[in-house]
Parts: sequence; C-alpha cells; structure tokens
Amino acid sequence: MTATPTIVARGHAAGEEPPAPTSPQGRGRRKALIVAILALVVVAVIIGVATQRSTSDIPLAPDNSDPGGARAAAQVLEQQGVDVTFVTTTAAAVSEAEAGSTLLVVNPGRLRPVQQEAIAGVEADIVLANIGGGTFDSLTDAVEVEGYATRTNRVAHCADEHAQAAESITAGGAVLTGDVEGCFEAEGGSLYATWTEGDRAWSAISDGWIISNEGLAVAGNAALVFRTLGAHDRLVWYVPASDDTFGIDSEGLLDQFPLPGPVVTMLLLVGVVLVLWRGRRLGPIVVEPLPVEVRASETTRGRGRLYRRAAAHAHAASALRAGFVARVAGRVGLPSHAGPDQVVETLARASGRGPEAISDVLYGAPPTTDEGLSALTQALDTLEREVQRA
Amino acid sequence: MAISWRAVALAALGLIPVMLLPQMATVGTWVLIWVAVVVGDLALAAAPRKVVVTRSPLPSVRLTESATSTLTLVNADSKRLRGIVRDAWQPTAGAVGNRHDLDIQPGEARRVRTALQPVRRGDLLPHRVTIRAWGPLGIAGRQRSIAVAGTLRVLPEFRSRRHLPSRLARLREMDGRSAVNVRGPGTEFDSLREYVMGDDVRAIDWRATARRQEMVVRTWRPERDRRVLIVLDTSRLSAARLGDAPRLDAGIEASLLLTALATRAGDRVELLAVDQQVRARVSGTHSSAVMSTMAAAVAPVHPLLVEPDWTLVAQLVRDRLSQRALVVLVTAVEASSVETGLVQVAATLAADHQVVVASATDPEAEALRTNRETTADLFDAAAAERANLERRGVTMELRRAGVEVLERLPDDLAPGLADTYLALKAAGRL
Repeated sequence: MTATPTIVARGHAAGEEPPAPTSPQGRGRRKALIVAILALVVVAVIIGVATQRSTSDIPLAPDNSDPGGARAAAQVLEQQGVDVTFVTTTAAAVSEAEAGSTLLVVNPGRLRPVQQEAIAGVEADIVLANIGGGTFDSLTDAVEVEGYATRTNRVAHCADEHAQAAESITAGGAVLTGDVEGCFEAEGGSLYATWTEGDRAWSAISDGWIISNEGLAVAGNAALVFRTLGAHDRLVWYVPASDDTFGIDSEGLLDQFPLPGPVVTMLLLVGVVLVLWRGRRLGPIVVEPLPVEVRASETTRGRGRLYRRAAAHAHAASALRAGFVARVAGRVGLPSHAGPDQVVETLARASGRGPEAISDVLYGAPPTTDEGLSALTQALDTLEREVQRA
Repeated sequence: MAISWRAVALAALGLIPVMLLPQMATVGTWVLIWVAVVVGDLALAAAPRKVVVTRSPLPSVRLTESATSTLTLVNADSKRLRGIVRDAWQPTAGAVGNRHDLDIQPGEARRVRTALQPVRRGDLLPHRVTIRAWGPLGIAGRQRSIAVAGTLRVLPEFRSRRHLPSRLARLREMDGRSAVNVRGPGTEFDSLREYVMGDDVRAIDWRATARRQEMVVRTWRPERDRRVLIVLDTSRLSAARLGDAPRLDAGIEASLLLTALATRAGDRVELLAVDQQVRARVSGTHSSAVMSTMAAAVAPVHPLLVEPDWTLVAQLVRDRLSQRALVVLVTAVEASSVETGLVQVAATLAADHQVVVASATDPEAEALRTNRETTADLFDAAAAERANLERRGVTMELRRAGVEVLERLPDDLAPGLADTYLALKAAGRL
C-alpha cells in the first residue's frame, strides 16, 4: 500500500536532531572487512604461486620428475651443453626445429596426419621415441611396426656407432622393420633404427621407457639416449598434447557473429550496464531473527528410531502392552496397581474373550521379529476396540 | 550510487552510431558520453545524507491487527529531492508496500506511511531506511541507508478471549447463588434475602427469620481478593513446536484468559516468566490495567534453550506470597520433570498453596501413537506409548502431592485452565 505523500511542514526541521552519521565503528568495520578480503586474496595468490609445481606430470616430458618422466635425461643433456626446448604443440615444434638441431618426437603415433606432415617437413634431425599405438605413415614410411617384443636385455649387433657404444640395452615394445639400419634385434626386427632421408638423420627408439627416469640408468640405455639426443647442441623435445588444434580450422567466437566487432562490444557494454541497473538494490536484504523452535515429537521419533536400530522388539512390545493396560484401566475400572491376574480377569469380562487369549496378548512371550511385533499390535488394537464396544 | 533504466537506454542508444560507424573509436566516444552524463546527473542529484528522517512512535498492536509506520523526511539540501524511499522492516513485520516515491522541494518535508501486518508476536524491529535520490535526468542517483530507531510491539493474539463470555457467565452463576451447592469453607457470606420456593432449607438463617418474622436465607458468593500467581516457563520445554506455534504461545493464551477471568472475579493476578532467570514480571497492577500490562510484558518473551530453574521459582513464589494463593505453573509435564525438579518444587508449594500445573500436549503425539503403517511406525508408536506412560507416572506423582494437573491440546489449554480455576473457586479451594 503506497500512501500518497502529503506536505506536512515547510522549512527546515527546527530543533530536530540531525540523524546520526554512519557510526565510525561501522565504517571501521567495513574498512576492516575490505582489508581482510584483500589480505585473503594476497595470501591465496602467494599460496598458489608457492605450491605451483615447477614440474609436469606428462609422461616422458623433460620437466617430469616422476619415474615415468624424463627429467633426468633432460638435465644430463643440459649439463652436457645441449639446449633442451620443451614443446607440446606442432606449431611450436615446427618453428623451433631448425636445421642443425635434433627434434625428439615422443609418441609419434598420436599425431594426426596433418601434424605428421608438418613434422616431416622440418629441417632438423628427427628422433622418434615411444613408438606404438597409432600409425605414423604421414611422418615417414622408412620403418613399420611388426608386432611387439617383451622388455629384456638386448645386444646391439649392428654397425651404428651409437648402438655400438651402448653395447646392450634393456628395452621392448614395437618391433621395427624396413630398409634401415636396425639394432637390438627382436622377433624379426629391431628396437632401434637409423636411416637418412635427404640430408637429415632419422632414428627411432621403439621403447620410450629407456628415456624415462626409471629406465635411463638400466644397462646401456643412458649411452644410447645421450648419444642419440645429444648429437646436436639444440634439442627440441616434443611431447604432443591431445588438445592441439593444429590444422583444425576453427572459427573464433566473434567470427561466428555476423556483426562487426565494435557492435558486439557495445552490446556487451549495454549488458554490463543492464546488470549494474538490476544489480543495485534499494537497501540491504533484511533477515529475520528466528526464534528457537524444536518440534515436540522429535524426541519421540528419535526414541522410536533408537528402538528400531537396536531391534528392541521386546522393549517396544512391553511399552505397547503397558500403554494399552494403562489406557483401558480407567474404562474397565482397574486400580492402578492391579496384578496381571486381575487385569486378565477384568479384561476377559469386559471384552467377552477367554482369559487365555487375553493373557497371551498381554503377558505372552515378547516378539522378536517385525512380524511378531506387527501381530501383537494388531491384537492389542482389536482388544482395545472390543473393550470400548463393551 | 545507482543507475536507472534510462542509463541502460542511453547505453543502448549508442548502438545506432556504432552500427553506422563500426569502429572501436565510436564505442569509446559513446562510453565517454555515457560516463559524462551519468556523472553529471549524479552531481546534480540531491544528497540523501542531508535528508533528516524521523519515525513517529508506534503503538502496540495485537497479532493479526495492522499498524502503520510513519516516516517524516525533511529535505535539508538546497536541491530538489526526487527519488524513492524504502522503509525496511524484518520480514515478519509484514511491511509489503514499503517503497514510496519522493518529490521534496528544498526545505520541505514529506510524510510516508507503510502499512505493517505483523505475523509474529514480539518486538519487531525496522531495518534501514534507504533513500535513493535521482538526478534531474533520472539517469543516475545517490543512495544511502540509515538506521531510524523504532520498535513495533506485537502483543499476543489472545485468541482464547472468545472463551471469556461463557466463563464469565458461569462466574456470575456462582456469584450470588445460594449455598445450595456451594457450602464449602471457601465461600463467603454475602447477604440475607427472603426465602423463595426451591431454596435449600439448610440455608435458612433461623436467627434472622426470628427477627424478621419471615423466612430468610443466607446467600453466598465466591471468595474475592484471592491472589493468583501464574508462573510461565520459558525454558527449552516451551520452545517445543506443537502444531504451528511453540508451546509458550499456548501458555501465554492460557495465562491471558485466566488473568481476564480472575480479574473479573475480583482476584489479584500476578505473572512471572522464568527460565534460568526472570524474563518478565507483572505484579501489583490495578485490575483495570492488568490485561494490557500483562500482554505487553509477555509480548517480547521468547523461549530459550536452557533448563528451567524450579528452585528459583520456589524462591520467587515464597518471596511473593505470604498467604494461601493459587499458583499456576504453565510448563510441560514430561519424563524429565522429575530431574528438573518440577515435581519436587510443585509438591513443596502445594503444602502452602493451591498449585495447578498446566501443560500443553503435542497433537502429533496421538497420531504417532496410533500410526500402524510401517514397521518403523510401530516402533514410533511404542516410543510414544512409553513417553505417555512416563508422563502418566509424573502426573500421578504430582496428583499424589495435591497438585492439580491439567494436560490439554494447545488450543484447549486456555479454556481448560479457566474451567479448572472456576471449579477450584466453586469448591472453595482457593
């Protein structure tokens, strides 16, 4: 109901106390609140920065210190003067892999054909590692995968100088075949292959495990890895990321609008103003100071649940029986401290039933099951109705 | 600071130049224009800080009645104040239409009225008065919320007053009735009158008959100027919700009806609301003012989750009453009444006074006891039965000590207590 305002006075309110300004206490509290929120944000940022891991958990990544990572190999190579660059996108790999450097491609089978073609076009020497799972036809057709071998100790048996230096390695995985120099024979092929395409040297390490922190120190693995990856003083370490959109034509969000950018910006600004208009309320929300109120039957229900959880059928039955007797006692004229015999006798007279039946209902063996309790309750209810009718 | 729909419209208007000249520079220019207009409008708005707001005193109202909150706003600024004011109250005060448009010239005042429809008993408080003053263009405005003191005291509904006429009629019946039925020690001699057919021959005053040479009988009336002390328990037991309202509300209704009845019957009624300490006290009030005093005293009393201190109650009763009186303990009879000391204290008081324990029972308890739908219900029924038995035990113990125990559903407690009072008065046990 909005009352029409009426003029009741003209002139300044004489003698009227000016309203108390917002109490300095309240203002101080608000300031304290802002300071507290700022402090919280600062602390959160500091904690976030401090706890941010400088390592990743990408398998065979040069910054992963887990057993499945390859930080050990990368660190040793860097100590030996090799400049290791870690990339996860094809675009970065292609731009980084210049002539006179080594490009290590981990999991080449996971690259899409477009990515493989882009990688194949770089001028750097290429080392494929952790082959298996997926094809890499668009990358190179020099080697193919023919089955898999178990991980065990294998001797070089080839002319490649890196392999010979390593003498023996512990490896398994995809078995490589093709018109290439194959080393570390396994089931009709080899686990390490080298070949040249144009003036670029290619090598393939079928088992990525030998690069990992866990497998590096086993047998001659380290020698093979360091010689292969450390051939040039620049190493581009490429672990493909699954969310790389290289070669996928995607339109930006703004491109999908037929409107020009400034109009969209203006629309967004109007939206912001709209939010500001609707977001400012006329005074704070008022909350009700609620009085304490507890549902009265809560204790009874709680006790009932307790009976049920304890499966106290006998206890519940005795309560129901005693309650029944207490209720009908007044109606049939029983004294409050009557004995069982007197109760049975009086009730038998009142209900017209045999004393045995009543004795059984009121003083029989206590039930131990849900069905027994249910039957007893029904018997008591029937008896109560009979007594009432009488 | 606040902006209106006009500010949004002004921003939206910018879409036209931006569409004609789709460049970011156009957007930037329009943003600058918009900001300039908003800031300019804001600068020309009256200052809500300079508005002097006072609230007219609020009368007490009974629950279900409505009240009006009146604010007087004086524009002490040199600018015309156009805007809106909101008189915010806590939700149960029922201030629904609490926004009012304002247009006050400098130095003038306005009065705005907000209808309040309270839905809860107690002291209801206003929150803030928020004034939003628009600039001359109505695009941007300045806003300020200030606290303006005031309290709306909502008295108990006293729904049970509809039982009062019938009980007063019974009281009048008792009054002036010949001693046919009322020959207890408590009845007082009233007057002598001529014998009419039907009067009890035992009421004939032979000495007077001899003097007057006609049959004269004595008439009696119930005693007057007895003292009634109502002790309202506001502890955790009174916080229990029975149906829709806490047990305390049923107790308050019963107390008010008893007060109304006993005051008309010529008795003096006092009241104490106690838990761990005294929450409200009504005593020594003249009979014409006692109802309003009592309603105002119990209005702001709310249950607290503490144990009742019956020893304190015994102490208070002893301090206040020297002669025999009616002591009504409005509380709950429960199994815990023995431990909390109610039984013991009531029994002790019963030695010197007529003690009545009035307890509102839970309407849900009976439904719980008779529900047989699932096995879980059977256990609940057993628990309800057990609670009943325990309560029955406490009741018996109280009755043995000479205490009247009254257990009724919340709505029946007030008439029940009134009937008990009349019965005690008729029997001369006050």
